[in-house]
Amino acid sequence: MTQSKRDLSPQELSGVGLSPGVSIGTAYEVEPQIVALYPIRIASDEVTRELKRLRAALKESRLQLEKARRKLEAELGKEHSHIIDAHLLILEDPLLLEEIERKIQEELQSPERAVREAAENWISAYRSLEDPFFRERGSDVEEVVQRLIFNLMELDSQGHEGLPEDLILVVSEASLFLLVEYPLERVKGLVVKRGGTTSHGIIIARSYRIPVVAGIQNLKEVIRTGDTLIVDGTSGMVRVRPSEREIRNYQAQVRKEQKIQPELVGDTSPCLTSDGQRIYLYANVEIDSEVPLGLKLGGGGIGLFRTEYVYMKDKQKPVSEEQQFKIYKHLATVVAGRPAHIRTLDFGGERHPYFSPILGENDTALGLRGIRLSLRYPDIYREQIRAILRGSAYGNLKIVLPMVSDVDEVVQARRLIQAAKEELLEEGVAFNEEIEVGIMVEVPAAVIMLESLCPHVDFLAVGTNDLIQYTLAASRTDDRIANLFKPLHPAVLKSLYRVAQVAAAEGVLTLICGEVASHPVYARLLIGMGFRHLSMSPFAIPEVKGRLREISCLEAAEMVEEVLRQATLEEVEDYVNEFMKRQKTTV
Amino acid sequence: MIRKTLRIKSELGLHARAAAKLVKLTSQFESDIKLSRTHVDEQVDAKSILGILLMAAAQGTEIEVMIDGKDEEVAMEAVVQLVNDRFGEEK
Repeated sequence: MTQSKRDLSPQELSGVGLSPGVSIGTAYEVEPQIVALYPIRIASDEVTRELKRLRAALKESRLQLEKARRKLEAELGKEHSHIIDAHLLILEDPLLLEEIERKIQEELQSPERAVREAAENWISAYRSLEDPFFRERGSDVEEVVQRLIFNLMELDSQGHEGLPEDLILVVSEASLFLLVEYPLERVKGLVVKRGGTTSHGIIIARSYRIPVVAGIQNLKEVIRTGDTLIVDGTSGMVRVRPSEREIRNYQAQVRKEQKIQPELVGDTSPCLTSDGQRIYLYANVEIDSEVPLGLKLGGGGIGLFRTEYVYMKDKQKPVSEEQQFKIYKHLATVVAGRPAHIRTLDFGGERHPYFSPILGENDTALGLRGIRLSLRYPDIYREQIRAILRGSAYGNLKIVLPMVSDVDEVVQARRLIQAAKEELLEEGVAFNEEIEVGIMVEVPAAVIMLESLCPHVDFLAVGTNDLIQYTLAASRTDDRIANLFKPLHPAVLKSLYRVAQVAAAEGVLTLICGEVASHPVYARLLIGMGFRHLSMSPFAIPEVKGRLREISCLEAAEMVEEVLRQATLEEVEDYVNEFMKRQKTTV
Repeated sequence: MIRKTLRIKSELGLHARAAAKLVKLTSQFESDIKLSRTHVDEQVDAKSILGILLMAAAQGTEIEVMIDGKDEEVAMEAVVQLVNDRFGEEK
């Protein structure tokens, strides 16, 4: 096999900036199925040890494959086991092995990196074949390589030592795992192949001020692990292998940006509109470590505490009630009297190591997720509810049920919550007996049935991302229909308006949780509809606060009235743009 | 060093299962065994499944077998038999 030819000249890639800021760092291509980072390089005195680890991982992989073959043969007969035969031979392929060993010995690459690079040459060679049958064999190589890398990492105990301090992760998709599993303090930037502005990974990146550029289709051909990258999330540019001079220019810009940051912090004064209406701003948080930040940036509390991360903390085993309790207790203590809305488990769509057997292959947005999953597995749910209840003894925690589409789901969930309360009473464990329970309004069925749902809930939380996706039947992770995912679509606006009307009539407090709340024009529309509680990413709070202070509720309501008359997205956009232009000239 | 040109007659060509059989066979011999598609310069190692599959040899493809080493005669005989036997497939 000849080495694949690689252009090493500086290059500029243009994408979409999804999280502003500039950073300079070392490219790191993240393995698609592997949820941790491994070292890139090793020291010369580690070669013998690392070769030994490689051999151990090869042996482990072989044992796993042989075991799989025996199982397959016992269940389906010999006919089907030849696939595994091929995998075993790929694993032991003398050419592949020779190249891996050479990379470890001569180039001082970590075994994981050596395996990936050596395999990549083969995989790209297969990709270029014309015959689809043989081209597809590249995925066999990929499978074997992932198994081998996984086993290598299992045998590794050195943690993050061999990783650079200034990682720029290069990924095909910005999943939630990406950032919660990795050493965030080392991640300086993110370059993503796919578009999609609302993935959880991007939301986290924004709240950590990690620049992100997405929508770069050919990143795999241009960027390799170890390359120096400049990521400009403000303009949407990525510079690959920049010149010394370019680096110096950007360094100045990075320093300048770091100076701007502090002024955002610490405005905790109330947010009043220009006509004196009080607006309550809250922070959406993904990870418990974001909570203090959200509060510090002027949040009136935590509007949405997503609990998926709680479940992801430990990859090896399900999180225990005790571990969960500690997190919720800490949350309750930190918010100090302010409310924290805890959304119960909302897996689905996101893969998860030990939930995957439950979720199966069909864990799409329309499948077994949110409250549906919780009601299906009441034992898992019971632990989470008990942990939240116990935490509620320490502060103002509230429970939010996700993906509700039916009154009966709320009734069932409340019954389980009641049962958990009775258990705790019997055990003599303290909790807040009056804990509030609300629902996420994110499925159109919930919007339609809102009058019937209201008597069963203490508050409503509108999940705008999902509401848009479900209302428009437009997936937010499919690039090909990204043009359909439009928050300003009249159908979405009318749904939101209906929620505001019903909630007001029924006297139910309603929180808007979703990135649209952080958009200045959208925030104005929400205020105009009558919403007074907005929750958003922590870093958006100071800016939104500033904008809302310039808005009068009366004017915003007039704008909403006008917008609701429009029949198409285009008309709404034209009206809004016109309105904003007028605002600018009158201010 | 001996050479021989063979035609791949199996229906699926030199696919994964056939390649696996071939590698298992060639790995038993000490000799250096190389394959190439006729009229193509690049040779592949017949003890490497990755190399063999990359030839993308569909049904009807002619391949040249080159064997060099102490047991080259026996090796060639075994390879010829496996290929002509359509890698032990039906038909």
